[in-house]
Amino acid sequence: MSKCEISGMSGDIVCQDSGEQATQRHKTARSQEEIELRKLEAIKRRKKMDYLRPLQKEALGFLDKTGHHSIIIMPTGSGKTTLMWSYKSENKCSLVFAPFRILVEQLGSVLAQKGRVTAYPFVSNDGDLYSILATCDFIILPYEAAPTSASLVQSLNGLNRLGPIWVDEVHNLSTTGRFRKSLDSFWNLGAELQIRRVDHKMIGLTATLRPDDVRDVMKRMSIGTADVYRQSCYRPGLDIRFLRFGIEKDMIERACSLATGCVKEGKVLVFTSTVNLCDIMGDQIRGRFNG
Amino acid sequence: MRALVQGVTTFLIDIPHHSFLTDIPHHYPHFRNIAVVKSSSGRSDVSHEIVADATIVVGTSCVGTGTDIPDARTIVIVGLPYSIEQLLQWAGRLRRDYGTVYVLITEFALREVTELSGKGYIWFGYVYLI
Repeated sequence: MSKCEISGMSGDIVCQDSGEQATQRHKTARSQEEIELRKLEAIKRRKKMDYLRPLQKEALGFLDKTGHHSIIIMPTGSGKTTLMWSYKSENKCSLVFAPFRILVEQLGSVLAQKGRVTAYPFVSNDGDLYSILATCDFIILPYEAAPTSASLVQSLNGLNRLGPIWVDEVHNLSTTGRFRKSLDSFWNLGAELQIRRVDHKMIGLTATLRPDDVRDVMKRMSIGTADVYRQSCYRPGLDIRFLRFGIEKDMIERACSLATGCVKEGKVLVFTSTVNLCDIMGDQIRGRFNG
Repeated sequence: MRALVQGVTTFLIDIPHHSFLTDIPHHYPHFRNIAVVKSSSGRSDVSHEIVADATIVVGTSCVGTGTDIPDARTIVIVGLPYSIEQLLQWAGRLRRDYGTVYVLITEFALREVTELSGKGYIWFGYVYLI
């Protein structure tokens, strides 16, 4: 009920609505169509939430709450990719940057199950760019494309289809973890978008990022402030064994024995610190199988 | 609309192809069960499927970060990882519930890190604790 009173001193008329009426007026401001759309989105979101793991739900809740750029740090294998499609809004296109071609391809195949995907190089939709911009749900690009992709982001924004910009394995951008010189120019994307006044939200994803490196990564992404969601990457069941050797030859010999011996139990992954060692290990293991 | 498409076309042309192509992995196609993936040289189109299907995958950090390789039971790390984060990334490729990570390092590499540790590379202390 409206309550009006006349101030005795100044003679001004002061009108105050009760809280209930104010809420009612706010509600009627939305059209029925908009309410239905929001309901549908809420239902869809709830359905997705049903099969999310607790950590994913928590991270999704964090992303929903924060309106700023964000950095999500979650353990390996906790389902960071799932966040990409869970957080996606209807009719929006998310951009995803990945550091390796093999990751671009992997993300493409995973996200293709959830929506229309275009991964670099653009071959879907018969290469029709407008059709890609108008219909795709995810566009996946390598890090190297970031400095020159401002036009793409602006075009999506012009079509009112710009979703969040995901930067996968964002720790690769930090000075300590950076492995390619070309990544120095990644910040051009954020800077260019700010110059063009494109309102965007960047979300970095990683499993390993030191607290000291967060500022550095923000600088590389060209963002001033970012909300950080951090979960420990500690895995209690991990069995790590260190073996020390006097000379490299012995080390390689033992590594080959381990790789070929353990293959009976299941798949073996051999990671080397240098490309040279990778070549040697590849040849040695191949030689053993030939022999 | 014309401006929009032109903008995107410019974007496509401007992608520095060569810098990206340097990181395309390489593999030996005649060995179906061994995939060698490295981050320099080579322009073959090794796919995620090849890596996922191989019995033994040999690679550098380009395959050790973020790649989803199902059913990995053993990880052999040859040489000292660049940082504890890299070690955790590599170890993260392991299957969720079980498996072993072997880290093989030489005394020479350890001595090198000892020198570096004085300059702030503290993760070496972690190695010694173990």
